[in-house]
Amino acid sequence: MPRQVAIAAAVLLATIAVAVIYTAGLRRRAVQPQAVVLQKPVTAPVSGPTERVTLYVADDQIGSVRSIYVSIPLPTEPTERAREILRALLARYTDPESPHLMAPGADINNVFLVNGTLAVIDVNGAFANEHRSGILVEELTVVSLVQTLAANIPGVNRVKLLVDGRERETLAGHADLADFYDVGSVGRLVAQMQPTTPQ
Amino acid sequence: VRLVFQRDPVQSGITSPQTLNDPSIRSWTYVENNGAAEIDITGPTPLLARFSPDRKTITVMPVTQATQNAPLPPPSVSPQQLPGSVTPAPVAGVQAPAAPPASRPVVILDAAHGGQERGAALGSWAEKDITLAFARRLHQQLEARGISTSMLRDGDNALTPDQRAALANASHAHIYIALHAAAEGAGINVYTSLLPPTMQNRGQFFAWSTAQAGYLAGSLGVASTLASELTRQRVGTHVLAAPLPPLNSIASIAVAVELTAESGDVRLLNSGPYQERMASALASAIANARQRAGSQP
Repeated sequence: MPRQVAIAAAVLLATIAVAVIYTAGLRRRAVQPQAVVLQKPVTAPVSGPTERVTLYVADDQIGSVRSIYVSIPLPTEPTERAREILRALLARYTDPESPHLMAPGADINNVFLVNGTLAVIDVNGAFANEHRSGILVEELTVVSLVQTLAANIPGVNRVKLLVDGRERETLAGHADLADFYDVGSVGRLVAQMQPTTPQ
Repeated sequence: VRLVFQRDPVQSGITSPQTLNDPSIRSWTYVENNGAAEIDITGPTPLLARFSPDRKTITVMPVTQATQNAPLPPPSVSPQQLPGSVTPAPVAGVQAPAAPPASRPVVILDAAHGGQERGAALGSWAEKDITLAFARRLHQQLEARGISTSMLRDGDNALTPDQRAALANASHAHIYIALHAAAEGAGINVYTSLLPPTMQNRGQFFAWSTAQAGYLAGSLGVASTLASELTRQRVGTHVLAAPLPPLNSIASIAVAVELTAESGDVRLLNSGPYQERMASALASAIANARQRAGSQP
């Protein structure tokens, strides 16, 4: 066998060996597909121009609610806009690293706007049934929802929360869901809840 | 005419017959009876009570005058009940005194949750058990300081927020304190009603859902005093308004107190020495708040 052919064959064999080892390594690291229960609600993708909105994000550790700006695609229909804004807030809370963790399946079913001044937020069962119980953690959820909605939907001065379309006494044993929330009172509360140190 | 309302007793202490300079209505009285409010209106001729269409106004007039006007039946009151009484069912399980007790307690403690309503899961304990144990310790500490105290529940029984408010209001205590417990926090948090500060009660009868409005300034003052006293005793504290039932329906100074674990160790919440230390600090703070308020109810 000519020397050049032997060298080429050796290089070829070495390349094949490296490829086999690399492929085996990839297979080892690959996650085996499992039956995963999808807890996130399946929703239609949102279409519309990207807009900047204000979210009021809660932090359990320091008991604060702080405002942040995010850009998200928003539909033009007002109630759908309101729902997508609140979903953007919930997306933060359902992140496992969230400082105000909520159940992965928590979602907003609908937002209804009545006469431009009353907003009715209908949350799903997972939102309320799996919410942690406590005065502060429940208050932070409600306050951040109400303030986020009021900050982005001008004219709303009262907010009511429903769970799967029905009235409920409390969120998880503490925060009142039976009554209407006055946006002005919530705004004053949020002012008290500002973090004392820069975030 | 006798009018009976279920969601009482929220009023400003009317105890004697009120006289009116009206030819049709001479006087009226108000009493609390088994958790309901009874208003007796007396006139020289038979009287008739009528609801307005929105059910927010009741007009009382002589029967003769009423029959001359167009009939306006009340939406949900059967004709047999007029002109006698409008009598809804009493609140189940609520036994309110008929009149303010002779020696009303200074403080009424309301251990939150109870029965099937367990509250937050705090380690291997339920919030309802921790609040009850803490209420009993605080009760002892307050009595030891000469502060007359009663407990709204002293067993594992469930009460709705309306029942709690009815019992608290019927007791005519000076200060209502709801007791809660939570894992997050650093000592004792103090909460007041979230009602707008500008809201006021008008007249002698208060709306059930905003009865706290006229007492909110006093509640904020007590919450502030409690916080400063607790801080002085090196107990971590935080004062905040909260949408917490039944604070809005309490017709007296009202705060909610939340016991939390100082070091973040939730096992502390059920520790006797820890509860005793917190109850002692809180009782001292309440005594000081009471002293600062002086004779003010």
